Amino acid sequence: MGSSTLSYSCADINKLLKRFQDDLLLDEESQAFLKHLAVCSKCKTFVRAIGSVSNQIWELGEIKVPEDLAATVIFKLQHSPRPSALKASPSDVTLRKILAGVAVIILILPVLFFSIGHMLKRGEVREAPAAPVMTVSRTAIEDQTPGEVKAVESDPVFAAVDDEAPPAEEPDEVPEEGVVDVNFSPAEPEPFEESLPGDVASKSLHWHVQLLDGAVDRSWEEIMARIDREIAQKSSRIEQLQSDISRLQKEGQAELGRYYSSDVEKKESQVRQQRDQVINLKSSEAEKLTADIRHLREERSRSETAQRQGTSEKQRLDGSQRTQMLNALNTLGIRRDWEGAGFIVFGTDGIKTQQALEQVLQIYKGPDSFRDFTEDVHALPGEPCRVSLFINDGEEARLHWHIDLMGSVEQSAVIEAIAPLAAAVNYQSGDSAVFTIMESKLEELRGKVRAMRVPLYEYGSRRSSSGILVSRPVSVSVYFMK
Amino acid sequence: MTAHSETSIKYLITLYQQGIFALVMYLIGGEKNTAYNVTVAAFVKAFQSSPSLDNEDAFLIKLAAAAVEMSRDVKVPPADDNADFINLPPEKRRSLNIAKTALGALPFEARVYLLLRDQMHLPYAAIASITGKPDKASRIQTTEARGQLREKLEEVLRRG
Repeated sequence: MGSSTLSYSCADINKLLKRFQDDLLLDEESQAFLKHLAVCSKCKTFVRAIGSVSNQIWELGEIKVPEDLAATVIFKLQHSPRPSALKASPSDVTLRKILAGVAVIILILPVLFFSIGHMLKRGEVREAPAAPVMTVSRTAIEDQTPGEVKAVESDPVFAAVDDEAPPAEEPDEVPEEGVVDVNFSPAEPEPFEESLPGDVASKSLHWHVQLLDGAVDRSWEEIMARIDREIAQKSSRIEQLQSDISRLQKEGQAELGRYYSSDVEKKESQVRQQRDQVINLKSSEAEKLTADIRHLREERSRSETAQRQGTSEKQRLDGSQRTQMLNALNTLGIRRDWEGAGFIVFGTDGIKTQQALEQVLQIYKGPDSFRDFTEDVHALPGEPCRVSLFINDGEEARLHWHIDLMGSVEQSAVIEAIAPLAAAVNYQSGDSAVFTIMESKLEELRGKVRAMRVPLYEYGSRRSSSGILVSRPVSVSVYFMK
Repeated sequence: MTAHSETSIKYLITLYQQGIFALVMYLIGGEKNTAYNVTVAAFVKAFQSSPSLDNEDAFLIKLAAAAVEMSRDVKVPPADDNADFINLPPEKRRSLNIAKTALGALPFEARVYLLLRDQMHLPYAAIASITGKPDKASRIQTTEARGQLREKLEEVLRRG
């Protein structure tokens, strides 16, 4: 610390050693002493070899620092709220108010003088006509391109209110190299709110796409290996579901007849109904997975045949799939409510939802490249829909959770568990959310959610945080399945 | 407050992270994950309260002060992690572990003075700014802390 004009040689170090150990050197001498040790490893080793108490404290400092401490600090600087030290003092606030008031008066005065002058010139004061307003029907809005709303001729009654205005986009990544605005304070982690954008929540769809950007050459071996992995994964999941179903059924059987009072019997009946709902959900997921495995086996069989026949065809996916998909949405006039952390949310009507689905299916080929988790939801024409789209880009398996729920009470409980542990809430809507959480807290959150006995299915992967020193921020997208 | 350049921030972190991390670790009792979080928080606080990063010494004082203050409030059970000294000769490792045990047994304030002076080698004027005590008092406290450490070392060695 500081800069010393003194400069020591090895011989000086030898002479000053005793005084250094007894802490009797002046500050400047001490700095010069340490400066020599920093550049002379021989002297440093020699000084440290002397068994003094101070030396031991010094050597204890030679510990390994986590490698990405700098990255975490920068991330925190960009996402922490404005510190109280930067808030304006009361006298500053008063001064600002005065200056603001003066500015307003200065701006208003010319307008006032002009108006008075104009009225005096005309010799009379007329009543301003009522401002004509137009009504814009919802259908008219949906037919417009994003950002452009034209009035449709109809009886002027009242001004239209766009209740489908999207929430403001929030950045989900640390900015590139450059200026780090320490003043930058995006919205503080807000409590989750269950506010729904108008009627959009009446139909909610959720899709997963597997992104394969760029040209990809895949041999038949690679394709079959991929299919085998997929089959193994789904089979394992089916086993898990069947085990859950079996456990739930046994629990149900054990509880029957336990209660004798009619009040408690009512409660038991409710619990049984809920359990049956969960069993049904798991059963239907197991059925879907079984159907998927059947399709995968068929595809594998076709690949094997093609390979035997010596077909040299390889799957080639040219161009950027992500770009194609986003262009398709733009062409359809679909405005994205939020985009980030591998998650896109957009709201539109039933017709455009179907069109969007057709476009996406044309881009993403293969049974495992696209999955619709809301197959039973039918997007009817004219009916508002919202689509949550999870994009897995493969290079980094983004973390995405599906949480099966039985009702809004459970959803609120999950939200309450997430909010205090999350570093920031990036996006939130009725049935989906994206938040950022430090890796060291991820396991804790998983445990809390699982302890609620709420089915949680995880896509993507993140290593367990136990035993690691490094804690990175992780973006997690959540979709509450209903 | 003007925005700091990412380069300046990274430079200061690289310069001081070792010293501050070690300081925090021995102040809170050796639990590395908590030490990591406190170190990060101390850096954030120091950057946010520094109008300029031109004066490195002034920044270090703010940083060390934040680290000490935040460590004071931490309540974690002490951890025994010897991973950092694993490559040292056994005898050396033993003596450092003894020193670590003795240091951990000292009161918090004594550890502050010892670590700031004997580990980070800060001048007494800087230590005075960090602790809020006058220069002379800082010297006396540091000398007393060394004496306490020697007693603790003897105690640990006697226990075996």
